Amino acid sequence: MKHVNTEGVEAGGETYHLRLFVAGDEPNSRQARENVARLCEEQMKQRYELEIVDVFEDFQAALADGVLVTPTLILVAPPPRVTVLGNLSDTEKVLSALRLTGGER
Amino acid sequence: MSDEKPTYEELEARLAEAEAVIEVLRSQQVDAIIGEEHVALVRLKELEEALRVSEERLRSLFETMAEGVILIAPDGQIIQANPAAERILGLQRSEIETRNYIAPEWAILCPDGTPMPPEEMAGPRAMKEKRPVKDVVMGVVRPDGSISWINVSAAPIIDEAGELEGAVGTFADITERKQAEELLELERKRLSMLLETFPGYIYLQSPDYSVRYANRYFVEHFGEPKERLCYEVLWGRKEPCEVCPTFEVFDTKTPQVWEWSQTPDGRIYFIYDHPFIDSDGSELVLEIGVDITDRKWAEEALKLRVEQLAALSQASQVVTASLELDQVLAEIVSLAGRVVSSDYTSVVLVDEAGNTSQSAENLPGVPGIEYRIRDKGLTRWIVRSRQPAIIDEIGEDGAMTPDLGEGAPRFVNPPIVEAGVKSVAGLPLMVKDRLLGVLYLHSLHPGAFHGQLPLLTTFANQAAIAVENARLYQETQRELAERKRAQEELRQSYVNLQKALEGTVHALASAVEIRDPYTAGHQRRVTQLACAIANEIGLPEEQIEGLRMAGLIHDLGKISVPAEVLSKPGRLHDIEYGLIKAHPQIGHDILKDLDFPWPLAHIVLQHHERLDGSGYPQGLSDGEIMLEARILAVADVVEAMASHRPYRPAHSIENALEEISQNRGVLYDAEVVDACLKLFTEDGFTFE
Repeated sequence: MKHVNTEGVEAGGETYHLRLFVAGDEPNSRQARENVARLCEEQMKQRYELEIVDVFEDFQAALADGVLVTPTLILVAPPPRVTVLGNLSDTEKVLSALRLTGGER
Repeated sequence: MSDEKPTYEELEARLAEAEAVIEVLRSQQVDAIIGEEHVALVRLKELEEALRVSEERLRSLFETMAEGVILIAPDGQIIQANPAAERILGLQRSEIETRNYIAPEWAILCPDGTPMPPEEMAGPRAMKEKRPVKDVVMGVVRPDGSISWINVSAAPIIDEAGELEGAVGTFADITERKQAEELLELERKRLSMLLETFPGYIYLQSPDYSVRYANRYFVEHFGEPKERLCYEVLWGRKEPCEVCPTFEVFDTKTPQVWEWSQTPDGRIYFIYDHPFIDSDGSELVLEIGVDITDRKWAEEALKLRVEQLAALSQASQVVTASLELDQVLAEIVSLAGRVVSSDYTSVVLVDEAGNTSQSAENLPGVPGIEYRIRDKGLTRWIVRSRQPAIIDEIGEDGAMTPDLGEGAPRFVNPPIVEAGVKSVAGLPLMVKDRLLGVLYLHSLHPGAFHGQLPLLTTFANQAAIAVENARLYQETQRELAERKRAQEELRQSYVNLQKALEGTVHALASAVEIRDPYTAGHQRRVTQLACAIANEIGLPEEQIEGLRMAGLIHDLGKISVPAEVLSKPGRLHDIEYGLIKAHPQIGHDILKDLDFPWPLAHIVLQHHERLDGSGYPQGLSDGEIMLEARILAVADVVEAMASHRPYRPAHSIENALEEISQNRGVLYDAEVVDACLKLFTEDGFTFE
């Protein structure tokens, strides 16, 4: 499943490409989906492209990305590629890993 | 990734990656793990929860379950025990958990009550054999001495490496069940014994001809019915019987009783059939049979005996009803056929000298056998021994060898053989100790008289009594005839004697009258009146006869008085009167030595005696004078007065009667006087 906010892309500027691997509607996966959706809306406005992959539906995609566990969030672009494991409930930590907080930029 | 050896950075990155994975796993934020070929879901929280719940359930189960549970270490030490174990074993958990499974404190019993060796117990066996062991029943002696019977199952606990970690044992308290089972077993045994020792057969008949159950009696008497059909077992038939009372119960569905007499084992059974619903619901017939053969035979024997006794009773009446010997013998021969089943009968009578006298028989074709007593014959043997002889079997050659002991005859009787006789009974006819003869019974069947001796003896005794009665009757008849003849002879001689006596008396009377013409006829006339008076008074004929004889010679004594004195007219001198007065005494003296059947001498002696004692010669008074003399006195006076005498003329009858009337009861007997008066005044008596 892909969720692409095209408006944001067209609006110009740096666009974030995120890919979230989930396992169906399992509790951590559900939580991760909600958390990433909220983060995207709050932090990246319309400048992101979120791709959600259900490993039950697309097992090969997970292998191709070297995903070992779900939920796993991969920041595909802009490089460098970043992988965040877990249900993304620690917002600070996630933002930091995605270089969305000032400290790491 | 790649076959190239990874760089340090790469290894570091992978390590970081692995650490991250571990960390996220620890934080339980992982749903699934992606493997090479599949996705594994990870639900640790739920797993933990499930584990906890499961553990709790198990704990609860362990604590509350009715079965006892113990955990055992490999050395047999009990590690854990649940409350049920406490309850069942009668021990505190703390006590149990310090004991070894095979510790000597336990007293464990086998089901039969003997001590159970540890190696037979479920736990040690499960650990030794490394497999579950089920349902080992044992008794545990509780501290209070009672026994808990438990059914133990045990399973070994083996770790992943295959090492024995111990065993778990579970056990249920089956004390009550065992007691119930023992009771049930006792009941079953009792029921089984009842059925097996029942003195009759019990079996369950199925409509498909199979025998659903049969007790031992049935098997012993009719054969083993397993896997066979009823008609095969009982009759060796290939098809069902045409008629079967047992099967009728399937139709009627009502109980019935009957007697089974045509049986495979030859016995007679009283049968009770009852509809029976088997434990599986199928309709059967329960049949119980009791052997009543002996009872039936006894009944038959009794019936026969009663019939024979009735016939015997009837026979005794018939036989004793006749008194003619020939008729009695014929009756005995005829009755023997009906009463003692004799086909041919003979009776031979033997007299006191031991010779045959009279006989009767009904042997066909052998009329009127001349019975003789042969030296070595059966009749002679019976007459001598006075014993009955029963010969059950006569040989083809007619030889009879009765089992009679020492000196018994062995003989051949051709007429009997010709008549087809097969068995014989010879019975002595005895009355008290006297032998009258021999009764022979013959039958066309062998052994016809076997065991019949009491009846035969009774019959022979009846026959003997009838014969004896007939003989006694004949003798009595003969004696009666003889006595009658003797009496007639006696009477005739008496009549002759009477005539002779009368002749004598008349001769004597004539002798007196010849000498005394005045008294001629006096004695006859006095006799006439005296007999009339005696008749009037009612004297017996015999006494009147005596009076007649006495009257005819009452003045016999006058024979000694000189004739001139007797016929002297005028008064007599005292001496002359004395001579006259002596005549009664003289008459008496003449007569007293003569044998008369009457007291003539005494009548003559007393005929001048008077009631007041004024008479002569003895001067007897009232009670001393015999009646004949009193009658004679009255008749004498009346006749004398009415007759002419040499010394006076005759008086009239009236004067004579006047005389006796005046002296009635004084000189003369009042009754005699009355009778005399009546004769003259009423009956018109006159002297001839």
